[in-house]
Amino acid sequence: MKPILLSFVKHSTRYLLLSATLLTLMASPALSEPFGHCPSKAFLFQGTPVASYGINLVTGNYALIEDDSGIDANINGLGFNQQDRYLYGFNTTHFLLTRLGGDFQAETLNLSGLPQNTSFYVGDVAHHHYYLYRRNTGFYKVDLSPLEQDINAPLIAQLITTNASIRLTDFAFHPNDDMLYGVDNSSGILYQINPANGNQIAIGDTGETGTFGAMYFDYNGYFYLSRNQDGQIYRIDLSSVTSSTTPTQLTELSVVAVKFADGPSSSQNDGARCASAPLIDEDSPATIDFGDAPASYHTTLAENGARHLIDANTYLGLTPPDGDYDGYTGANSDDNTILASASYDDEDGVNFVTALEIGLDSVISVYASGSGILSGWFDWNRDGDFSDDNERTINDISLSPGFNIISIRVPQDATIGNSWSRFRFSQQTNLSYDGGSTSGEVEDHQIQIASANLSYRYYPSEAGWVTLAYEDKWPESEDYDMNDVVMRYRTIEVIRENKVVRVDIIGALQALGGYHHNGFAVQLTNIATSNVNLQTLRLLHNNIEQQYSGTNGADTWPILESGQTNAVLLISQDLWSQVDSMCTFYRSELGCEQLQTFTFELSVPFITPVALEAMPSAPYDPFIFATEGLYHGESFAGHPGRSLEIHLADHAPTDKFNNDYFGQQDDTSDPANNRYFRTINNLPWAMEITDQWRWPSERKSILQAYPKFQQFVESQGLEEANWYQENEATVANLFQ
Amino acid sequence: MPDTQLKKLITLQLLTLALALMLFGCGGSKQSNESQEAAPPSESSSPVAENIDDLVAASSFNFTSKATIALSINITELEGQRAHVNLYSQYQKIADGYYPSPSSRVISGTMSDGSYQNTFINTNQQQRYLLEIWRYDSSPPIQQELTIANAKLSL
Repeated sequence: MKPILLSFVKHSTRYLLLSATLLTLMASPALSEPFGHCPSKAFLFQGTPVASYGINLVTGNYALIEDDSGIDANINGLGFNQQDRYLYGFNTTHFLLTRLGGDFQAETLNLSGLPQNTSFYVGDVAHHHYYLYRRNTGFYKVDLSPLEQDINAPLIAQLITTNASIRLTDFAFHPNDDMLYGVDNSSGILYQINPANGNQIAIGDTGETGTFGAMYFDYNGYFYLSRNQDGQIYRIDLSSVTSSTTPTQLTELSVVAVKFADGPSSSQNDGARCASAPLIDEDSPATIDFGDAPASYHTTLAENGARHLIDANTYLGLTPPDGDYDGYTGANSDDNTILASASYDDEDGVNFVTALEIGLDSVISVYASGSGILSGWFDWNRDGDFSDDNERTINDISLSPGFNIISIRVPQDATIGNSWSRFRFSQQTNLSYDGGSTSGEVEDHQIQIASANLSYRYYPSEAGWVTLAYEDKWPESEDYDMNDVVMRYRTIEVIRENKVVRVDIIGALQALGGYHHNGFAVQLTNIATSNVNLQTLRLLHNNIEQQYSGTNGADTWPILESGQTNAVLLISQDLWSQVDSMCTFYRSELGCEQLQTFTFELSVPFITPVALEAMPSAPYDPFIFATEGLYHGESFAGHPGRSLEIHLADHAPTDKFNNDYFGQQDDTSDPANNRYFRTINNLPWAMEITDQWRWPSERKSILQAYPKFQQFVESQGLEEANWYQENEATVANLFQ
Repeated sequence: MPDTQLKKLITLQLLTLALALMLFGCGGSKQSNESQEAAPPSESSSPVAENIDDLVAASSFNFTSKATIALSINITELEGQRAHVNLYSQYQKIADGYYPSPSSRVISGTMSDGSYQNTFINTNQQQRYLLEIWRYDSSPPIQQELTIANAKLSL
């Protein structure tokens, strides 16, 4: 692959030395070893003698690998050969074919068949063939297989076509269709070139021109261009292209080049990369920080998400961010994942210390590790992006180490409700809400845009969780592993003038350790169904707004359940339908670790605000119920459906519950005395653990997992209040 | 995906097996292993846990250590000023003052004439909280560590 050579004439005086040096160059004293693997890093080659750089396309960071290739020459038109794992390129100083091994030392090869005294700056490798291109000269290929036997084996360049009119400075093979792609420097048109015959297809306008001296593909089929003049790296989405893509389909693609990162500029550039390697190597420690807003905000790599190469000096908060292999979409979702098991809460440097009230100033406290540049975006109109005109609210502010107090004005036309913000702290200026950065950190934060004079009461805290754990065999007591349904849960009460105007309930399903199918719902005791504002009631599943709490063919179930005295909010009709388990159960058996995949967010506005003293206490009454039409144990003659509910101890069921079930088998409920869902020993079928909690693995009782639960219970909570913490557990009996 | 279909098929078969066991009065598939579970796990050196069937709770115990706490703030110097209250459960002392963990915020509220009252739930018998009061003039916050006394936090 290749560049532009401004210093070409200067070096022409060396041609006289060509014949004298040729034999010396070919007699390499020691063979260079190939690369050990297909590297995810891209390589950039600059100058004479050629210097080799490694470049991280994700962030634009680059570093010199080797400035002495062993020959005093420029090498250009490089490509990575996946068959033998060498880089092949053209020695433009001496007109020779050259290869570089993993030590970036050059070996000269015995090539003939090319025009005399002609340099090639455009090249790439596929299927053990090296392809060379020069405008108005021709398109050639060289079979590299003879080198398997002998490094000095004669190689012959074969002319494919003399039709070479595109103004290219590099091209690259697409890993999915084995075609070459390149952008004409003058017109910005993206071309496909057939390596078999040189036929060209003009696909479309990339919208960018310049000297694109380095072009690369990744294994997903994204095409990257590095522009010599300013070092900017652009990405074109060719991921949908396959070997069966027709020319018509090809020309219908949008091939607009999107700014991806800032890389090194150069007057002379060439790039090469192993196209079958992922852009981020998950076998190496993660070194890039991503955000965790929903995907529509450009969070993941596929969406050109905001990302920063982590450095030791530029971050927000007291500790550097943890590395991610990609963006995770959802609040704090990058803090505890299987893919990044060492993750922690690194969204800790930005603190909204006042409310965001429409038309008024708000204060944000930002703690900087050192000096750097901060920008911030707010989705004021809640349309799922940061791209509207007024949404870049903090624009390249210089931060000092320590606390920085920043005032912003919430626009008068901002929309009330939950939304998102993004903060990017870097040594670079002029970052966008997406794209790579060579330093720093990105923090995404959920925000609440409010009218004036609101207060918020969080349970257990703004980003903390309690854990709800259920045994679903009621009225039969069973193995007591408390993992048939495990849900993380928090609530937010929005208060004006000592009255609650809205309740938000957020949850994340952790485990399903039983066969039965259960729905999940919350009863707001003492709040009438008629007081819930149906017009603005909102339920999200995995950040996607839901019209119903569940569907089954033509059957639909509402979010606010009708026929109830108290407001009952149905969140899911069947939790099993929300997950796809790799094991018999979901995240409860040992060896069955998989990503958590179901979150919900429920927003319940009241028509008449509820006085604080009349509000039920958080967590209110979260319960599970039997999914309609499915078997739920031998205690029930048929399918109990909504008539079966399982609540926390002493929480009365809803109007849908069949009171005839009370007192069966192990249940000792006594509604007359407000006693519900307890065994003869007063044990419950559902528990609230007031923190994030690691639940017992399958068939390990809560006592086997947490021995101090016994003392906690027997002392009525006065002793061993920390019984549920991991350091109190018999870890072998926990899931994970 | 084939793997997923296979898992679903296996799940279905296990479900059928479990149903068959129930029909024969075995009390469910998980219960069928109950006798084995009474033994302490061989891989653990922790004390042998009492059998759950022997555990007896008080009839009114709710299985948490939660308590409702009243927060009451009155600062006469802030009367007539716009100000905002934050209460955090997690924080640390650093050279610049207290560093609160934003994710641990329990209350965020607008003060009215230097006054603020609310209640919150103390989930884990925590005794101390960090109170912050912010004005809107870019000045540093008022920070005060408060200790619960008689189910109240006051300033």
